[in-house]
Amino acid sequence: MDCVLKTNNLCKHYKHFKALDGLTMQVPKGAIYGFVGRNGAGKTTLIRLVCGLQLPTSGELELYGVQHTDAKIAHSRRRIGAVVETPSLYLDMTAEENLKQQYRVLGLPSFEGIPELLQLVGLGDTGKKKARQFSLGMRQRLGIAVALCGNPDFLVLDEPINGLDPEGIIEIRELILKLNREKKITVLISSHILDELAKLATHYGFINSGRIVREMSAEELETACRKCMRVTVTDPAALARVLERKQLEYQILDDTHANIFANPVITELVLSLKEEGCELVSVEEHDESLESFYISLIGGGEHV
Amino acid sequence: MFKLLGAYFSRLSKWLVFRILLLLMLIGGIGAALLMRKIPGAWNMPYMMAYLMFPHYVGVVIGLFNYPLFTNGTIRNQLSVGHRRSHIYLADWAASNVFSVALYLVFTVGFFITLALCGEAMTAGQNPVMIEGLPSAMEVNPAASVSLKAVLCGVTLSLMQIIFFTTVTQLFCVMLKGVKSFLAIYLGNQMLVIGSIGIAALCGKYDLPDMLLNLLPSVVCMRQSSFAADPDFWPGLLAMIAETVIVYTLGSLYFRKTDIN
Repeated sequence: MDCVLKTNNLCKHYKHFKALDGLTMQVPKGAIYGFVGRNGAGKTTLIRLVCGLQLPTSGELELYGVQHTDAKIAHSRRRIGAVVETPSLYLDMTAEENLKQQYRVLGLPSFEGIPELLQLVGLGDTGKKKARQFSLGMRQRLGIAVALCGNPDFLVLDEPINGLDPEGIIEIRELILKLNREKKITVLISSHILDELAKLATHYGFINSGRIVREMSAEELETACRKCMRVTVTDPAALARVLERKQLEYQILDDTHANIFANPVITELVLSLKEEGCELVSVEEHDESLESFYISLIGGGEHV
Repeated sequence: MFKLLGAYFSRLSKWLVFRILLLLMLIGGIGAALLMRKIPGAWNMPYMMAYLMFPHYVGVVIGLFNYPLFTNGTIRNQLSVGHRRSHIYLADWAASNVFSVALYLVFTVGFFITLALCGEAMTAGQNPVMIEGLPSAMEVNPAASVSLKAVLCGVTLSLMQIIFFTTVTQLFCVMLKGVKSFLAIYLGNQMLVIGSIGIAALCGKYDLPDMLLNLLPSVVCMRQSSFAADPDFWPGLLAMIAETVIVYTLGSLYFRKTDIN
């Protein structure tokens, strides 16, 4: 798998507080990677390390194949655009002036791309209005526009929909999808608003107490959250043989549990399992939302 | 590096606050010269400005210039695109110094030109302005005449002192990263100035103040604030350059390791 960002056992300590405690993750190229965790889980800390705002206490961070200790990391970071926490703007400048300033920081020779960029984020008609007078949503969009200066191929967005109204949330979501699909930009987006992330992300990383509890693709998450029948059996191999014969979709979870993504007749299932020498111990309906999946994951993580 | 310098200087040149302050400094310089044109010792005004007022003034205006970097987080836009911290620190230092030095020069040049055109000739034998309570180091030497060399020496030392205070101010901004830096800068710079005046007042009475004569920037400037060229110009200037280099190095090293939010 071609990865834009890889971390291995990454730690960041603030005196005695462990903000990141051995975090290992991979952001595949072309993905919209949803970084999910409660407040204080370590999402923003990781983003700060990725952007070079802070240095790791220990562990490895690799950006486009370059380790963070290598001087060439500066070149890798030139391919990044980031909005960390709040948009970083000069409030006494207009939207256009803010972008020009970032163009100068990047050393871009011409300002030709600025009108297109402003149109892209829906700020083409702000004229001489200063960023100070912008609404929160407009500032977020301008922050993303600043991050997009220089055509980065990796966009890092920290809680980009915080404080936005529903219309603003939709606008930001559509913008991110557009950037990912049309410009092939890899996106790392952190949020604790799960439903919103579910509409965007192709990959997920669940973080708790500075560690990745689980990484999975959107397909895997969908499967995990799908409505199903969860059964407890004495012999999962026997269950698999029975379900294969009946051509039912299923997933073996462990030595005793399995999910069946269908509604088989229970009597028939029990009889078939009996013939295979397997007992059906319990059956329960399983319908997990992303939210409950996350809670069970975090709760499970805490008891590991 | 040059990209960053370009960005910083561009921001400075287009910054409305900078333009307004430049205009106010010019008006202040011309106005002060017109008001003081008949007062002996008026030529010393820019020197006195440099060691009494400018440390505070520089602290506030440089704090204002650096304010968006940390409070609005615009420094993140520079770090996250791969600029080295040492380059960012240097570019900010250079722009901050251009800012403070430009303000002082506009005041000083406006003052001197106006005084040269409208003021009375400053010759030997005129009565000095005696300000009660000030240390003798700050009194005007009435026996000396104005010389170009003395003016250049005084302006050079004053500029170096402003560069020193700008460097100290930048260190405060980087360490405190926000609005609280304003208070720290103001109080910190004031302590340096008051301490310098106190040391100047104690010169000749104790050994330690005498040793510090060529070390503390404000004391160096106070001693230079007369028409005659001071024979200690070079030691004073070199001491201030060395102090500026030390403070800059400390600030740069701190900035390389500090966490930015």
